[in-house]
Amino acid sequence: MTLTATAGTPAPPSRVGPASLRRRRTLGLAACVVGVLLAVVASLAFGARVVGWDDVVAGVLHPDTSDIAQAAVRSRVARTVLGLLVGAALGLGGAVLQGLTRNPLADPALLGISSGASLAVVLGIMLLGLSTLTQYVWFAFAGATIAALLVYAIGSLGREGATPLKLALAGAATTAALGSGVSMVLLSRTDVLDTFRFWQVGSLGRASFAELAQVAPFLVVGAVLAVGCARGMDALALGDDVAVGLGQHVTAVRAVGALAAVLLCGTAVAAAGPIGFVGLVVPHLARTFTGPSHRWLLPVSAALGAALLLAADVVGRVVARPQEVEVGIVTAVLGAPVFIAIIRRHKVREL
Amino acid sequence: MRTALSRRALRPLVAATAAALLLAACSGNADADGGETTSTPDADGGAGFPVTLTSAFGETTVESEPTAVATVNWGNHDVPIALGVVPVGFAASTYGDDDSDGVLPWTFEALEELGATGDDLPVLFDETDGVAFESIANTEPDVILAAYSGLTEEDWTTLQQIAPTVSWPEFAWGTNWKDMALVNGEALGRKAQAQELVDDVLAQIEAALAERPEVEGTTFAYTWIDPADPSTIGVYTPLDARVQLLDDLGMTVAPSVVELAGDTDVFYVDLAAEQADTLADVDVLVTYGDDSTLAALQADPLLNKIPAVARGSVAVVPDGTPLSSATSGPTVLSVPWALDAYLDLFQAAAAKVG
Repeated sequence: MTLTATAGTPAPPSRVGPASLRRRRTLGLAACVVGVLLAVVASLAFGARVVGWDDVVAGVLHPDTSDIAQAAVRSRVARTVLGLLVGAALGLGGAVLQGLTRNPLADPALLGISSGASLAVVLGIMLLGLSTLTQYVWFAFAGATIAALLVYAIGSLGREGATPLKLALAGAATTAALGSGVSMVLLSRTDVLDTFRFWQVGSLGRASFAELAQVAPFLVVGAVLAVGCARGMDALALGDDVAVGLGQHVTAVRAVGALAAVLLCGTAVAAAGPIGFVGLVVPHLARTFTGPSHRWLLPVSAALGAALLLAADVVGRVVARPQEVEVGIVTAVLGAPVFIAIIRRHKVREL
Repeated sequence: MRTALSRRALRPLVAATAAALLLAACSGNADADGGETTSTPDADGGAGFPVTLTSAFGETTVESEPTAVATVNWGNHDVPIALGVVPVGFAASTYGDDDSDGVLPWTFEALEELGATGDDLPVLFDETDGVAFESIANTEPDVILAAYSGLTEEDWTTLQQIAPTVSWPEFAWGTNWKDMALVNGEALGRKAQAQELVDDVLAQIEAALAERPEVEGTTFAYTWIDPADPSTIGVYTPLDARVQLLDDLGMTVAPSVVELAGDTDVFYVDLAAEQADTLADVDVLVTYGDDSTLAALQADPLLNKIPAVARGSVAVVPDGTPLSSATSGPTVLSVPWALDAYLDLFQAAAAKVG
């Protein structure tokens, strides 16, 4: 395992030769694929109910829905797909945000995207009586977009434009303001507060095939846009002046990348509520073996995000039988120590 | 995890104890002499005092007959009002309040009889953001009643500094309507009269049940299912007041629910929908919702494995209406008000048990 050879010894990545890097990437990618497959199998097989393997196979292939064991497996299929989609969206969205802002701590929560989506949904519930996912998606998307634009506008004020530090500060301030807005609405309308409870802790429990069909298009568009920005983000990492020198249209890359991130993160919030740490931790984990190249980092972040979120959901389903723990709680519990470990080991690589 | 659970479970509770800000602003300056009584304390007059009551947090002593009575949380105000004592202030209700005036219909009717509406309405405490300590202190109460509540020890300690406070005896939100009347009544020196009120309501229940013999003896599970996330079923435990009321109505908590609750001290536990068949022994499933709820439950591939759902013996309490408010946190005034409509729900559901 070349991984263990490099882990623990903080060798500067620039010293890694191309052959060794290629081998690490290949191994890492293989590990991701295996991880996703394992998570999928676990997600189908394990849940609040203990079912036999024959029922798992039958429940996936040709369920007899009059049998509760097979009906349970059947319901896990939709939940598994939702977990993969949301996890991939969060991992990819986090990687894009970190690349765009050159900020190692960037994630949807920091840049106001989550709170923008939340506020839009709460206002929609209060003023228009929203109740379906389709409605939530559009409102969350609109709210995330407006919040992202607002943060970027505030962060761009002054001479140097949108520096990482100014963006982070603008994002934190905007998040606080939007959060106050949410509280203001909720405290004056307790009936909205009830509907909003779901938004405080992310969960995959509402998965259904009909809802998957509603959110999938947004995520596909977001993913395509994100991958299309990979080369541009590689150039951005060298600084704006160098990127322009390399023939990149810096503003265009940022705009498309931001749109991708808003699509991915806003849709994830609408579909599963706020889930923290995945967007923050996954890109750092991925970088340990992909290096900084976004053409590798983006797909690996998506795969890792999917595996991590699904695994977290399975843990939440089995640790407290017959109850379930929401996946948003599990990612926080599992993600925080991982993140601290990454920071301690790598001193968060400069982006 | 516990907090996430109970916060969601409190839904009908928290909502009920919160108030429209507007209302708090409009309630103006209520009379400070709201403690006027129209009945007398127990035969031995003031000799029954001091009264010492024990709650989960400790002892509370009421030195002499209180005239200025404040109440907090859900429904406690109904006890002094039923005993003819107009409180100086009580918590505004928002859950199931049909006309958004912060006072539920049965409470309003009783206040009207005591001539304490309009300009004479007691102060309504806005509990949106928790217990309204300042507003309570401003009414200068002699006693604070909260036998049925979710007070924390910190809340109780703070309230004790304002006036002697009667908190829940055993479990948060686990005081049934009878004990709520007796404990709050005892603090007012009117335990015997409270017992008379309780006996009268029990007689009304008996008469109403006689007209609906099929309700008697049915087993039930009282649930809350979020239509947005049907992967878990919230199940109210046997210590919850709304569950205890059904016991008074001649029904029995299903053994599966008793087992699920175990020795918990909370009023609510979650059950994963994958384990829905745990509730196989339930005759009538009780849940909150509207006209579309039964169809939604029957369409759910896991929830329809509950036999009660499959055969349609589901009693849907209309969410956010006075009926659901009256029965979620039942009081000596709300039970008679809701009795017939509530029993009709169970009669219809029990008829399908077969």
